[in-house]
Amino acid sequence: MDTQHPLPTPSATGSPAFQGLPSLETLGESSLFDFGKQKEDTSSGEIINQFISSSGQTVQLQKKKMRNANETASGEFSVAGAYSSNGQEWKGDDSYGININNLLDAISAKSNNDEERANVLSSTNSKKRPQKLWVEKWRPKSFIDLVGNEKTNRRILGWLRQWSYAVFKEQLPELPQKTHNNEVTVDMDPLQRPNKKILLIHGPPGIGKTSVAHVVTKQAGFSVAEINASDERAGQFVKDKVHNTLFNHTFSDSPVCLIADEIDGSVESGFIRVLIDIINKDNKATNRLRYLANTQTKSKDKKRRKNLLVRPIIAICNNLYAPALEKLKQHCEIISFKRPSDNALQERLEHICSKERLDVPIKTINDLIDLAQGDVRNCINNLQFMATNSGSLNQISPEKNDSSSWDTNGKDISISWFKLVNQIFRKDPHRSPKDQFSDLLRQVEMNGNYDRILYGCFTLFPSVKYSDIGVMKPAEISDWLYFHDLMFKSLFEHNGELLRYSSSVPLMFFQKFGDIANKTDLRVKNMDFEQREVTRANLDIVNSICQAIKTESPGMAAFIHRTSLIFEVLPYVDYMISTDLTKIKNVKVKNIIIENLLGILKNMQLTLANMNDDSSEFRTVLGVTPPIHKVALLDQKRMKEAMNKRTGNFQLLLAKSEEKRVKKRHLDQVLREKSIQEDARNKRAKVSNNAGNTIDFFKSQYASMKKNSNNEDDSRPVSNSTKGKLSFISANSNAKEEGDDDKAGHKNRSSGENSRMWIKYKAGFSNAVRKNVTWNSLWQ
Amino acid sequence: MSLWVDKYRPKSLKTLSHSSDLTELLTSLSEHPRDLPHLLLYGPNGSGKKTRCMALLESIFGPGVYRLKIDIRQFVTASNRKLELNVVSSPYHIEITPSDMGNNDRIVIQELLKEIAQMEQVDFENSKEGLAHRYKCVIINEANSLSRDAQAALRRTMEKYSKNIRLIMLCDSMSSIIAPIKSRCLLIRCPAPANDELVSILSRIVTEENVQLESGVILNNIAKEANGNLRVATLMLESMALSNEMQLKTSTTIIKPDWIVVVTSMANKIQRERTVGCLVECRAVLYDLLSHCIPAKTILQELTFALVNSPIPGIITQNKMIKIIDLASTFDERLSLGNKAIFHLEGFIAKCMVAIDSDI
Repeated sequence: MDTQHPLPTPSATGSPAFQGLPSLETLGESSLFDFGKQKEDTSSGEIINQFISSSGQTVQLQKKKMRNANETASGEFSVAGAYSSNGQEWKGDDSYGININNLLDAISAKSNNDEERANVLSSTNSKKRPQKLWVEKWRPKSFIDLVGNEKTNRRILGWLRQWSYAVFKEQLPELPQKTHNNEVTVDMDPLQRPNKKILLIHGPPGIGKTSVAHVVTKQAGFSVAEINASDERAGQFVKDKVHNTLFNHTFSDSPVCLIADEIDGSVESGFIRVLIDIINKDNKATNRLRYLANTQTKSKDKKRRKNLLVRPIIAICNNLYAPALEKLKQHCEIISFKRPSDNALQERLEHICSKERLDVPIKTINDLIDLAQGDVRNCINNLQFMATNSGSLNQISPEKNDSSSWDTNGKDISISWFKLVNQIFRKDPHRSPKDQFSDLLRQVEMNGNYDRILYGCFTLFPSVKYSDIGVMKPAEISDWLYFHDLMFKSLFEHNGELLRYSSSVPLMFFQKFGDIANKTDLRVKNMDFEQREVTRANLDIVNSICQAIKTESPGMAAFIHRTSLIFEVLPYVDYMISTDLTKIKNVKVKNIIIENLLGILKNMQLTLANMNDDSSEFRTVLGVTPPIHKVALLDQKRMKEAMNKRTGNFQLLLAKSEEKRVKKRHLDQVLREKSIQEDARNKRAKVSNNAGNTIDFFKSQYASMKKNSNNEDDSRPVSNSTKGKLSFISANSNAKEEGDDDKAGHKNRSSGENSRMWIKYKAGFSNAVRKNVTWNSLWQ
Repeated sequence: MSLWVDKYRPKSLKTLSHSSDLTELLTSLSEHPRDLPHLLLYGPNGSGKKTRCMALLESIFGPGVYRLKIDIRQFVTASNRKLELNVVSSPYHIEITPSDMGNNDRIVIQELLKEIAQMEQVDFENSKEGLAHRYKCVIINEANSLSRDAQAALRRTMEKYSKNIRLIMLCDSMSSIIAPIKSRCLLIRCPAPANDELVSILSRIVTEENVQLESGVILNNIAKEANGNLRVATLMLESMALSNEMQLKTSTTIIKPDWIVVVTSMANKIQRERTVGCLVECRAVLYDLLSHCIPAKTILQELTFALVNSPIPGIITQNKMIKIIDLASTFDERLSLGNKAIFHLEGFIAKCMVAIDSDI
């Protein structure tokens, strides 16, 4: 088909129907209502253009190109032909010279004819070739075919229109509200693109999200490039594909709009990363563009421009809250699709029925709609199924299609698992238990979400009413739960072939706990999920403690282990740090305890910091990080107690540790100053008696070295005993060695009474070539 | 300054404090370092397996074994996924904890061991016994959590590279160690210290730390509560000392970890009332315990002992006690075979309630 000029939207222009119409003159003469062509169209399932005019009548349009088909089908054009000849006679009534009433009469007459013909055709065609799926056949082809969601449809169109400037270089008419905040031009995109560059449509399946996207993009003059779940969407493949479609120019005239369908699958993270990547790059490029525009410099950097996104992207998903979409959402204009209203759906179905020559009573259509719960696709599928099922004749006898048979015809509408759980505990006195049992069994199997249902049952059974002696029934049900556990495990081991037996367990719940007295629906709280989340969080805390200890003090690493931390160490450490320091009167003891506590905190790599209080949002409380109390404390009462008592404690500890740090810093400083002074004095001494006693020199050298090492680690007290041991340096060292003093480092140490001396001398200018020089070689 | 547990941890074979027979055995092993076999140390928690293991290494290689450092190693799984693992090592040994690696322990074991095993250790000049560390030691913590595959992977390595590598495996129980591994190792049982041994160790700490003691009874009590776990005993002593102004009186309450307190109180509740309401409360407690990373099996074990050692006399008769133990073992099996801990823990409680109510 040749590409069609984009039709203006109904919202943008006043009268949609007539904008697209060729002039009536041509209408009359060109025998648009060309039956031959129509025949082709219906057979190929194409409807060129179809409008509902203001009078509510359907008008079908076809293209001029088909004119050459005129001659082939001539017999039936008498009506149309009559118009062209009679056209002049009503000149007075109509500016176009055609009586509109007559024209409309002709149209209706034609459409009657048309239907008859289609009827004949379909009866002949159905034998010749397989029927096309109605879902495809009646997929909306134009904006007005869309069912329901008019507002959202228009929003999508509006969003696409915003791209017009960037894509078509077409100035949009200034919107009235824009004039209000004209001063905020800084925020304006230099290409006047919409703020969010991706449109995300979400909604339940079968309500026409994909169709809308296709129709609207076509309407706005784009050609569609679709990437859906059937395509390869891993990493590089999709990246290439997306970049090709978005940034390269196509041969066809119309620009491309990328439709990313079904993006909420679990394996789509690669695809989504590509999208986010594009957005981020575009943001950067846009900012640069804006900056350049502001500074009035021309950039001819084409390469930079390449990152600009100048084609719209529409993403479609069912579940907006899928984890894969988390990061994408913030960049998206999100539009949620609702189910079409029953009326709109009914209208559409009736339209299809009339087109397909089906005589379906309104009631059946309504039943269909009820069953499908707004799923248009499902409705149409069922309709087709009905049509083929009810014989070759296109007649559906109403008695055949009473609502009970619909139940089996319709798709298995499963009720949600929590409703089902509530039903399990409800015994209906008006129905035989057998009936109810089989009904429930069917429901459970249909739902298939056995694990969810069972967790629901397990959570609810203590809170429902039932008769029991002691806790007999819970005890018995535990065996069944074990059975379920085993069956469910097969999901991971034997491909889930045992899973189907799980359906018996909810029924066991029904047998044991189902009671007439249970009437109200109870809410199922997902304790299991919460527990798993908290467990994970706590495990993370323990792991982080482990990690911290391992990296900070590897010496402890051998003896620290996760399980022992959880079971033993952390609970006791928690007790220790919640010691009530304020009660202790004896200062000495207090100091010892504080010393101990600080040591423990340091050793476990715990720090004291302000944290948000759990109970109130604004108050911050001094606490330990990582929060070990979350792992160690279980008892609610003790938790509260500890939290209250501890804060005072922590204040004290923090103060003490600060004090210690300050002291240490001060000490460091003093020592450093001292050493500097010492150094200076040494130097002076060295300068003054350069040729002086070698022994003196070595002594001072050693002393300064000793001091340096002391400064490095101030915790070690300066030991006088070692100083005393440094008795003398053997007079062996002679003048020859002294000459080397400046460049060579000497390390002398004398130990004990033996008064041995080591001299290490290394020759060479860097570590790479430095080597030991033996004493002998120095002597020679 | 650190926890007393770490402060008073023996660093050499000579300073090991309890089970002197075992110490002798280890000393004799260390005297002939060339003939050191693969070792499998097993024994209850807090009995000093790791301490002994490190002390043994120290006596063979010298104090260098305590110069530990952490390396980050990368491994690539069969599915091309990259694993990062922190490995604790000294110049003479390397440590592996299988639970850090999840399901991929086989790959890690294979790669790491092969890498070490294929390297000859060359620097013998710094050790006291020249050829002693021709081999490098590999310590496997929690060997009982090694998967079957990993254990199978160990078998051949242990024989083939025994020239360059010695394995020291530590585990709580040997039940999950496959027989071929057991037969390749020298099995060493580390017993928990007896009560009087515990008391003597504690009293040494008490004198060192200047804790004032009213009488020796309190240490006895601590030793009793610690149930042979030296680590727990020391921690208990320290926390009690710190929270009581470094003075221990006979009346001083013994501090237990929170989770044990909670389990015990749950057991008491079960004995007092056996209704669905109680079951609901228990469920909440169970969820709480599970979310505090206490494994279901440990909960079951503690709960069983708390139920059996009932504080209320007359409720748990001999027969009921047997029944409870029987139930505990049944549900322990279920916990191993199934995945949903909460079902089985609550089932155990419900069954116990029924058992206590019944008249056997």
